[in-house]
Amino acid sequence: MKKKIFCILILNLVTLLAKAQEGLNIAPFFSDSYAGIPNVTLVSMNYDKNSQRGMKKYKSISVADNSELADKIKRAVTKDGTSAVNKEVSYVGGDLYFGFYSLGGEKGSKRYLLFLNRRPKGIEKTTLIFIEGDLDENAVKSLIKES
Amino acid sequence: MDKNHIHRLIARYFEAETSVEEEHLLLKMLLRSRDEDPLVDEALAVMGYTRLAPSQKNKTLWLKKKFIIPAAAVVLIFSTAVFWFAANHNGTKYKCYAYMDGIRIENQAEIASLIKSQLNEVAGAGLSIEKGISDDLEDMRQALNGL
Repeated sequence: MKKKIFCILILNLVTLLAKAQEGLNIAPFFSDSYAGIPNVTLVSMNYDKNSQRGMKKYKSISVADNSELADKIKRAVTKDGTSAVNKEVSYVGGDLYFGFYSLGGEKGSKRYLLFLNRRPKGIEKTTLIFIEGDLDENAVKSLIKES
Repeated sequence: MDKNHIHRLIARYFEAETSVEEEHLLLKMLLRSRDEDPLVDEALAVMGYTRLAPSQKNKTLWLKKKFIIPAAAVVLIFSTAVFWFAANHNGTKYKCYAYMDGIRIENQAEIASLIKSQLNEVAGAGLSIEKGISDDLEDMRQALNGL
């Protein structure tokens, strides 16, 4: 009985910690540790309940002229993309060009990844966007198209 | 004390036919006759065990109530606090910020403009993919019509 209680508590702690870290391979790229790197643009926006049509969090990293970092981001996106509920991806010349990944999530906290790698088009620039909120795929696509 | 009477009582005790008063009487008789008869010693040993076992159980229950359950509650509260802290304090006291080439931006209008331009770029890529798909489908339709 003691062992069962102990195991349940440890599992609870691990689950809570994992949730707090979002559990995604791309999560580290939104940390401030990339803030000081040249040609990197980081955005972190938390919205309050009543704004932006259900969007709660917007995080992005945009990397120019840094193929090493861009490739790391691409590998992380590819890994997280394997567990996506739904995805729309496009490859150019064998290289991941565009990705829209729906990662699922609880009601009110659905998560999406948007990835754009312009290298196949001759521009060394990669952008990764993470969106979380109470919005479905169509709402996210509308948000993108209307911006 | 009549040895037969004691043996009859012992037999009834082992058959679980004795009342509480008879058990008390039997215990007194056994304690007076200790080491005189192996059956008496056996019955004494068993009675001693049954008296000890409930209090051992009580001791375990006491330990559970006094230490294990409060410890479990502390771990649960601690893990909830860790989750809340991690969810609400992710490295900066501001909820909206951006970094461009290492320079921190907290002006919401500038950040909103950054977000808009990023979403525009992604939208552009998405649209060009959709156009590519439409063009391909149109080519196939024309090919089919030509058959």
